[in-house]
Amino acid sequence: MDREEQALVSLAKAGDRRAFDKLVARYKDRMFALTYRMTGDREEALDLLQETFLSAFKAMRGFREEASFSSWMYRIAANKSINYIKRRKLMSYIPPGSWLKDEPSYEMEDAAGRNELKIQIQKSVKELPPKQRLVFNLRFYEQLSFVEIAKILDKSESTVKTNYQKAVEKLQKKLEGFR
Amino acid sequence: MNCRPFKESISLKLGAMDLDAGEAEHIESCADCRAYYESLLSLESSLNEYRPAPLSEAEFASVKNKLDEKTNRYFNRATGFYRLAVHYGVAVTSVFLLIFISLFSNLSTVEDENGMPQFYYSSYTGEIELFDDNWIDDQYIDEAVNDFIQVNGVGSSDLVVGELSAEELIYLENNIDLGGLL
Repeated sequence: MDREEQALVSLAKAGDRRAFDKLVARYKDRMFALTYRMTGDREEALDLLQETFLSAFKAMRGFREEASFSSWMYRIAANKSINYIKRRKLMSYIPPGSWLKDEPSYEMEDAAGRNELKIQIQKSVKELPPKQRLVFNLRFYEQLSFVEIAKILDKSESTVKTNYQKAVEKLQKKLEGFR
Repeated sequence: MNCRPFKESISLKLGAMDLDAGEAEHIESCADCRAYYESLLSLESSLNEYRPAPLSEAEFASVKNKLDEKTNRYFNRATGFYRLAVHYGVAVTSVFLLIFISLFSNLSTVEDENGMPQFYYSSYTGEIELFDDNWIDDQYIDEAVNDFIQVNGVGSSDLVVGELSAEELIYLENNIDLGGLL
């Protein structure tokens, strides 16, 4: 946590709304990337993003600064995402093609094969069990260390590593024919 | 280095593939592990394709509006509750304090003949009563009898309960309520 962020956190803890807004602006992209990858749905990801910041706002005074602010934010977003998945039981039922709806990231001019690979990757990541998906996203896309992920998820480092290895194994199998 | 630890180790490096000297040496000599390593590099490259479109200004503005609305509501509710808690807390505490003071300031203690404290309660009307049932004692009866004698002119002022005649006792029983103690 850099000094500026530390100052913003202290101010936000004291009830400074502007400081909190600045923290929101700092973290919006990272938190959105995680919630989007976890849900695979842009609208849901936006809702989770808002819920993540609202929970952070409510719990701000209680943030003890034992962990870094970013780890704390990731933990909130991770919990929101896991709860969302449990709520919707996405893992048990994914309507065919639903994970593609309104996906603006895939431009129409993309080559068909390339587009198909992207679609397949998104689908494969989304089909990972929630905890493996979370660990995979935090490690591969957010580039967090295993130690940091273990702290965020309140798990042992070896459990996190096992989850990551399993996720990699599954993705390798699922994407074998597309590479 | 064996194949199994090598594979476990490099699968954990997916996303930040950087082989150490032992691993680099191993893939030079093991075709199977080299193939595994290359498949991981290919997977890494494919997974890097999956980059969702970043949050747009419009999307963030929408999230921020909803967030502001909810944080304002939460803030107002929290401060409103705090204000209520402070105001009503002070009021309720004051009432309890007043009740406590008014109750216990009227309690006084006197000692009985054995030096044990006896509690008296002074009511709002100023009458003093004992809490226990034996509140009519000899002194009370003496005073009552003396009052009676003075008013009615019966006997002498030295009379005590034990010295009343049968006639006086009947008269007292018929004319004064002494709780049936005489």
